Amino acid sequence: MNRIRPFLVTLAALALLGAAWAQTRGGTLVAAWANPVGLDPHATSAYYSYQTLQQVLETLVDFDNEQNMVPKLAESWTVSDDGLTYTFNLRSDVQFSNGRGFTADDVKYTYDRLLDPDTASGNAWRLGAIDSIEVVDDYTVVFNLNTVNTGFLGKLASGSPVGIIARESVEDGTIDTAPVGTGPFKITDYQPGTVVMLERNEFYWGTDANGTQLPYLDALELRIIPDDSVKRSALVSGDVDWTITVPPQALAELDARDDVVVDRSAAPAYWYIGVNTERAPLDDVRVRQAISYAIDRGQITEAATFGTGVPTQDPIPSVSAWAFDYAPYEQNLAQAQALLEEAGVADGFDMLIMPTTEYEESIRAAQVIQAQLAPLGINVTLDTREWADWLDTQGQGNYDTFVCSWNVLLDPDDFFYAQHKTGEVFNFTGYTNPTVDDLLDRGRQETEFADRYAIYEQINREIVNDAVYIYLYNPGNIQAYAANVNGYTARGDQTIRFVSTYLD
Amino acid sequence: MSVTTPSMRDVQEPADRGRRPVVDFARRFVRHRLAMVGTTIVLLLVFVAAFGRMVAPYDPLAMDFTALFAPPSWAHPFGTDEFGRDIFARVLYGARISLQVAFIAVGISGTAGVLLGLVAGFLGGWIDELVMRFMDVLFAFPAVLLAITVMAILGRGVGNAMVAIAIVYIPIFARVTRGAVLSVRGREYVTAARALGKSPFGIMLRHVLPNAIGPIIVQTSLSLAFAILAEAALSYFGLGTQPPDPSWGRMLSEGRGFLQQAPWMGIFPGLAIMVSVMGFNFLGDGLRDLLDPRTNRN
Amino acid sequence: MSLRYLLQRLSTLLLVLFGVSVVAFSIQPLVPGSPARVRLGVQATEENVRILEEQMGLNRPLPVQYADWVGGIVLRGDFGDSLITRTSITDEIVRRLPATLALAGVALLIGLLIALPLGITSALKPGGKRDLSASVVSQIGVSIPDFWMGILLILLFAETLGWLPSSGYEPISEGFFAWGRHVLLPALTAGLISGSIMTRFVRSALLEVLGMDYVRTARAKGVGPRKVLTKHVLRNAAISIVTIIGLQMATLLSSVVVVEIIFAWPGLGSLALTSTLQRDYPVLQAALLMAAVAFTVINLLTDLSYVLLDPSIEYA
Repeated sequence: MNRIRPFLVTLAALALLGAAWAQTRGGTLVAAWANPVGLDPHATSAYYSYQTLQQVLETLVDFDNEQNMVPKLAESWTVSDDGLTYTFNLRSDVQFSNGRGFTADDVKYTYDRLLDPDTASGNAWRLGAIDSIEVVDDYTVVFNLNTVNTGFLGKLASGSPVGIIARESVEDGTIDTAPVGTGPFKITDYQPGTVVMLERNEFYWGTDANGTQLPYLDALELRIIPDDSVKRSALVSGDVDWTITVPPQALAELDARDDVVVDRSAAPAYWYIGVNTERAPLDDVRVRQAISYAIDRGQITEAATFGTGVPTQDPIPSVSAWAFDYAPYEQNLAQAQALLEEAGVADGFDMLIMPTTEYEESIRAAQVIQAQLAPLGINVTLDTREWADWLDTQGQGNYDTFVCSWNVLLDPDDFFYAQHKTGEVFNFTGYTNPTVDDLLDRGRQETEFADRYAIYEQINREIVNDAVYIYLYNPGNIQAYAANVNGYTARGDQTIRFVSTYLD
Repeated sequence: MSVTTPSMRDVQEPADRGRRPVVDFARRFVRHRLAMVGTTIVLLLVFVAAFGRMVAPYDPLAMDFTALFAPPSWAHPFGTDEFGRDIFARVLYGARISLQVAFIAVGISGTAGVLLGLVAGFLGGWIDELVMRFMDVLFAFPAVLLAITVMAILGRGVGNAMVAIAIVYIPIFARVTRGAVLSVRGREYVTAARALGKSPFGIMLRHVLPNAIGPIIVQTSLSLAFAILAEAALSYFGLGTQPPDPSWGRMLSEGRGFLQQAPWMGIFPGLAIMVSVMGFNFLGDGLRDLLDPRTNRN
Repeated sequence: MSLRYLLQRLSTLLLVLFGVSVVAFSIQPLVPGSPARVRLGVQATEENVRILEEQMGLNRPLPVQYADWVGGIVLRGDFGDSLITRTSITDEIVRRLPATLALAGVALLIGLLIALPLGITSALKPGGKRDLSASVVSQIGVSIPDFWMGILLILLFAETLGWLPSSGYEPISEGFFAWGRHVLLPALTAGLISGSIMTRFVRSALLEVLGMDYVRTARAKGVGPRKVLTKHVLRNAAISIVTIIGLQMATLLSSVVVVEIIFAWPGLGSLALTSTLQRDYPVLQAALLMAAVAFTVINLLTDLSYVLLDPSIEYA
């Protein structure tokens, strides 16, 4: 039976291949979605807003699924020898979904708006290196940087937050509900909290390998379903074709069904305990190391992700070219106890840990951490907060420790710079280490892979040793959809794209 | 008890009723099936809440990664949850948390509501108008939204959940009390006490409150049932009892994500909620039958 | 019913609504967390947040903000714009109101279809077998939290049987059948619970009437039980039952909030909840105000309907 099956599948696939030609076009994909927080790419920071905009906006350059930089709206680019000037040659066959041709002016307009302090964009930091943008001609645009930044192209490829928008939607005020882009779909109706309706962009420039016009789908219906277990029910009962989050505990059961496909890939992301280095006794590195020795990352990962994550002691996933796999902290309670004694808190202390209701897994992880630190006399209290409240509290530095994640990290710079450089806006832990600061700047200026690797390996070691972030696990990137959804893959950069998806 | 036995036969006499209302009430109470079932359940709950932790086979917070999602067995009568915590132990501990929330929340709202209702009903005039309009304002918000908003202001946590639930039920107690006060305010003994120049507070305490106590007791009992459900609703939104502490509502809400893998995670706390809500409701209904003068006629 | 009574009731209603608006507005300065922070997210600087808060008008003195808000509603029927999506709140409410009304209306209907027959049969023979089973059924209904009931119904009717959609809403303009299929499960969730509560009220209302002298007299005169029920009992119990329905709307409006979240129902309840979590104050205020208006108007109508049901009640 088992031996015949692959053969039959191959046969069926071959038979379908002919039919697929005719069947790839048309149809509406109904997806279980979650609530975007506004759709202006410069005004929002919400994951679900970005994933919605991913269907609508495109970037100059892009990553393929193997994390290689590939052309998108820019056909080609050159970098000056001093690394400060980037010149992009744009595609001339691109139109916005309103039919207007895309030119270099749109690139300048988009990034000028993003960087304008009055826009107050939370995404401006991504492109902080830009000094000015010059339009040379309709299809040539030059970026002048104020400092060398090897990761700059990667920032321009970081998805919808830096996607190109048409100024018309800013001028007529529809930027919050239906921004216009050059992407495969356009937003036709946005009912906050209910649904986002998209139709194919008839002016889309992209084609598949056979020259067929993309996208295949006629429309997307993104239904906002708040409760995760209802999302699962909607998928299983066929009310939706695709779902944006799957309760991880449901995966085993979904795997066993033949009408549902579970798509897994490693996410360029990590979960960690952020430690406030300005509060006693956590300001003592030995106390932070003791915590790192005391926890069992395998159990935390199991409870938080139901086995879909990979325990880790440093941030970069093992599958990445930048992986260092530095792991000095195998669980060792005696070692942890010794460190606490050295630090003068042999009897333990009281500590708050702050997870958020926004991510159930942060609450599950915090409970396990609480249980694991109890034997050391570290009396952990959970300080669970709603997202709005959590962000405020973190911003004010009003915490001992918190549990959170960083997502969509591609260049090694993304893993360390904004989080750990002295005085950077996302350095919420108050960490400061001159060696690391220096290395982080050098990492941005170095271009050779081997040299950069050596620099970041050292940074990685410093930060893991200082235990300012206590890394827990790299999460999986998981999506589930009905078996008749084809041409969709969970991408390594965590973006969701339906451009070559079709239903049969 | 020895006092009641000889007078049992006389209880039916109106004269005797007036003389020994408590004895009479107790006797009818014991005969009332619904009230007795309710009382038994409530006493059992209180007993579990008080002594349950002594018989709990495990620490309700102890995790066991070798027994995740274990189905009910001799070792774990109600199974285990996603951390391998024993659900039977958590249900036993949860009894105290859930009942505490219910009793304290209803205690606060009962005290505040009864006081407001007494003052409004007895004093009348603009005070009445002011108090009752404010109650109308509170009552006009959907209960869940009001509770959630109060929680947003105070912050999450079981203590604040009690306050939020209390605020939601204050208007009901105020209305019930005021209604009862109005119905006795004009009676002769109150008018007489007033004519004798007794202090309004004294009259309220000695004459008005005892006569209004029936509906208040009934309302208390019913509110206890609703408070347990309200805590569950707040837990659904992650606002009530905070992890890792077990309340029945919290456990039920967590269990909904595991209906396929581990239905026992929701079933047992759900049953606990159902039984206790029934207990309080039976007791309340029974008390209503017994205390309401209109149903006493039969 | 005198005009004076009506005017008095209306002025009280306005007073209550004024109170509601003040309470709803005072949430904003009391709740921690800023809508600017929610929109800008984890990667925003304090400076970004400050600029956006100023653009949102959150830095103006509170009385100015309140006057601006109430003024917009009273003078222009305009609730302002959402701080998060920057869309018109009035449009949003107009779009969502039919969904909530449909859900609450059908739920009430289902509740009555359960409560009236169960309540009447129980009251006719109190303590009998039917009374007991009705009481057990209604007790179970009362003691299941609404979110749990919703999930169980989805598992049964959507996932296992595949009869009804698991979630979502279709406006009635898309056809009655599509609308009905979608409204049924959420309405059943709210209706089963409110029906269980109402059963107990209907039973006690009827018992009360059954104990009245004129009913006893009618029975003594040999009037058949069915005729006693329709002619004497139900008519006289009607007032209590209308009161119950009026009060039940309060429970329903509350229950609808949870049900709307579970079934992804685009009504006012889910709007209020999302806006609380996102600190979108003008939207939350508008939703609370709408719920309060609905509730107070229902209350008024309930009171006024007494006059129609019982001409002997005269309001001075």
